[in-house]
Amino acid sequence: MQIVVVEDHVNLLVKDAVNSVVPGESGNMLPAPISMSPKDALSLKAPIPTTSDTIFALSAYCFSSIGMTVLNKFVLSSHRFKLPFLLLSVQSCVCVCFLIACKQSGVLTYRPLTRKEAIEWFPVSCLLILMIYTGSLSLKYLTVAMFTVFKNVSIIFTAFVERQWFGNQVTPLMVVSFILIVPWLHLFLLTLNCKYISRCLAR
Amino acid sequence: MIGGINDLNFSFFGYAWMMVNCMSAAFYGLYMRRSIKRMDFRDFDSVFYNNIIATPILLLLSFLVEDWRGFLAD
Repeated sequence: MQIVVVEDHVNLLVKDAVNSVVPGESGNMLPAPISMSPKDALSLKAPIPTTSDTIFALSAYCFSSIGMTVLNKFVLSSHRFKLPFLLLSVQSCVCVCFLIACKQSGVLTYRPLTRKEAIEWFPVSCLLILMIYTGSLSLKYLTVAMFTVFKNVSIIFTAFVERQWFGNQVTPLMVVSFILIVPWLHLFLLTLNCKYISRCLAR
Repeated sequence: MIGGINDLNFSFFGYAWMMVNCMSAAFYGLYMRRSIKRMDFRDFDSVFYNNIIATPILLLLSFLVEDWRGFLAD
């Protein structure tokens, strides 16, 4: 679940890459859960990402997302394992170790931890914990397909909460992409139901 | 939602937690974006801060809430 954070960053990377390939579209090609301007996103090593960069970023995002969901589902659904908090803490610990190792080897950089900023950032981490814990609980009970569907619903929900509270415009392009999400959700649910119906008929 | 009614593996807990998850994801996303802007974080700053603060809290919660004895006896 912790990979959620990394995943968001990959999402931004994908957005960044897509934006530079299609210069006309500004920022809304993929409705990322956390939509920041490309300036805030990952600074790519190459100034202009090529098509192969885009393909790499997209496939890396797909693999990490699918792998994360399926592996977590596998672990959380097993009856012997009843410690979701432990699983999440191990994942976040591994993430920290990975970041430290990357900084040591000079692959990436981040600012060192300071007391003042840690206190300021604390509520965000609490919200993160709430999110990943409820996510792992729902993944425990729901099927992977339903979980994916609801993850997409939460993207749409975020955009509308943002509009309600902060008055940010939902651009026409965003509305189009939301409308495009809906038939895919239906297709998902349809295949899900067909599977169950055929299973019932076979009984 | 409509698909959920037809879901034969319907689980109340699953859907209830998913609702909470949707809301917390929205608040997390919006609040984090505001914090990133205010604190001028870039690249991996937010990932590092998130994880390094969350790890001890998660470990503490795990110690307090979860059944470690049963897990270790396994």
